[in-house]
Amino acid sequence: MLLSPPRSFSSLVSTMIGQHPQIYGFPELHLMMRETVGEVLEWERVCERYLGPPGLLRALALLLWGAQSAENVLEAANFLEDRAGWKSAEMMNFIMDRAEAATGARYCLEKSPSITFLPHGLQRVRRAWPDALYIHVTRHPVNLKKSMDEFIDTSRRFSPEQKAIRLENSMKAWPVTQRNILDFCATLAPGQYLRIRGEEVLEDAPRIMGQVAEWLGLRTDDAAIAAMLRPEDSPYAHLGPVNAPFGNDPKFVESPAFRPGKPRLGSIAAYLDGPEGDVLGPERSAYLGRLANLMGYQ
Amino acid sequence: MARTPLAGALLDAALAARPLTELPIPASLDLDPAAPVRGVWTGGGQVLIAGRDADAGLPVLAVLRAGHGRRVWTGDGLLRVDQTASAAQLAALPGGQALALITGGPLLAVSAGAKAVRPVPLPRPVALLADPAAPGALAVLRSKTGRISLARVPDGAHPETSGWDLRQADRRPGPKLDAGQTLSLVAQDHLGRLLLGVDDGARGFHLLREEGDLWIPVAVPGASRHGMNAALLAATRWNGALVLAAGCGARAASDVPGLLISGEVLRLGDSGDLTILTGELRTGPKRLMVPALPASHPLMLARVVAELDVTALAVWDAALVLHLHDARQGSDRLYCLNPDLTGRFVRTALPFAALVAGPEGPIALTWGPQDPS
Repeated sequence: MLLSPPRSFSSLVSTMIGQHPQIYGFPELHLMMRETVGEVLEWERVCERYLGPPGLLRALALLLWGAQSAENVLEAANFLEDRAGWKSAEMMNFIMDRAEAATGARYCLEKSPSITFLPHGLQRVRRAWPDALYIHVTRHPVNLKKSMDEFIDTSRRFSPEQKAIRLENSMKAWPVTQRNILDFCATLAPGQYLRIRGEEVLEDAPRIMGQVAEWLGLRTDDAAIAAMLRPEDSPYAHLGPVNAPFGNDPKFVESPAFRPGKPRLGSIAAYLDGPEGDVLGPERSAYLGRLANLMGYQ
Repeated sequence: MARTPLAGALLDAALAARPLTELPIPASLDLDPAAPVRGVWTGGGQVLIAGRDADAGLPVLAVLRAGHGRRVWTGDGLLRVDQTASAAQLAALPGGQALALITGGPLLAVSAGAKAVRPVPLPRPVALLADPAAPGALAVLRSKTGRISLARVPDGAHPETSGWDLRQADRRPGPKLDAGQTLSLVAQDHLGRLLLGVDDGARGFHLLREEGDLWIPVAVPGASRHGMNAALLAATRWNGALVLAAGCGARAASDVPGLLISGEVLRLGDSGDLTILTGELRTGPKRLMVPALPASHPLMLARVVAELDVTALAVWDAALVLHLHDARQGSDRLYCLNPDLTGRFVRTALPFAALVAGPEGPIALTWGPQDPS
């Protein structure tokens, strides 16, 4: 499972890793944040996704009915409704079995960034699959805030008032989610998680992808690594049918090809010296700065 | 904290200034009574005593907390010291002499023969290393402006009369540190090259090796663990390499309360390559960095269930002795790691702050101020 808050390269990195020939990379399934499929569907409706999680619908459409069409998405929605009483983990096992049967994958990879807000959701995953492996992907908090602000600003889902509130709080999510992930990882067995900086993937993807494959005990030959550098080949890297278009970050879906390069990193000190630092206050500023330092960001 | 019968017996013996080999060893420690208690390490008001396990023949170490004021003890006897700060680093020297660097305090010269302890007049010492190249020790000094310099403290050949003659001290400049960096330790690899450890809360520790007049970085900052390896806590030579203990440091722990970050132990090879002995698996500049100890190793498992820092390292009978401090529980354990990476925990009744092994020869120990318990 890939652990990363929203806007942290999670779609890119997850899709790249999922392109390894021995891995099946899912889009965001949003399953494990709730206990049952019914609760998942209920929450999705609150978020105005009335058929269910788009990523889950697309995966079911492809794996059960052979293609991501609007008709098959409706079939998938009915399939989920009929199984509202299933445990989320049960549905997850079902879809993983299907993926394994279809592709022979040794691992399935899932990422649902929102779960990083929910420590009990992470524990639910752990209870269901005690031996699951986790990849924690980080991003510089200042760059993440900038990306998040752009997303909020251009989103048509939010009213001006909602945008103002979200923009004001966009940095607060970073320490909360990172802390949830760090606390969770600290309880895992040695070697059960790997932390990678998203920026390093952009800078030197062959090295990082090779080491991820090595950690998982998978093929590390050139062909396998080359496949990981082509996220655009994923069946979930492009817009889905009209009734389930996403399931990954919209910006990634818009342009899923991997574009290597050294990202220009922000400065936490400069950020905290600005008006946002005054809002946070000294204690929260120190917390944020130190948490960032722990993960290699200055 | 209550004194254990063992602690009481040993302290009573120490206060009576008996020779080390005559200390009564309670059977409960399972020490081989036929084998002398050979090693003593010190720090922070606590005492570590080492002997041999009667059954397995393995080293056994006990840590005791003193409650009778701090003293300095060499193999030849017990000496009184008046300073109240805890000793942080020790360098055992030939001829029954030792240097003790007091945290935030003076450098002390201990002479067993003269039964004397006196301050060495060096300003602001921050790190200390017994100098195997010549009699004496190497002290790292930090000026008021943060400039680092190195001074060789010559062996006090006649401390009874002349004291430590610092006119002979050989001083040279050290590296220039960036803002926010502090010098934490000085060490020598098994090829005799001098290394300085620099703590950096933002980027992780740095290691600098002296090459002529230059200080060359020999490891990536924090060994790829960033602020989680902000501080170097201990170093020792073991099994043909320099072994380093690193952790996140007190500042990170206070800024991010409650977060469990266990320290780790790294092995620095001749060419500057770092391998993880025990610690967190991670990506590396060339290859995946996988800890040498398997995931099921007790040391690897221990760092998951507790917030463990390796605060001190020493070598004892070819084994690497790690002092594991659990910051949350306030408890301490020792682990003896054999060259084949097998080993065992040694229970310690009481906490201590530092573990400092000297070379063969006399080893000094200090006791702290009055035990509040």
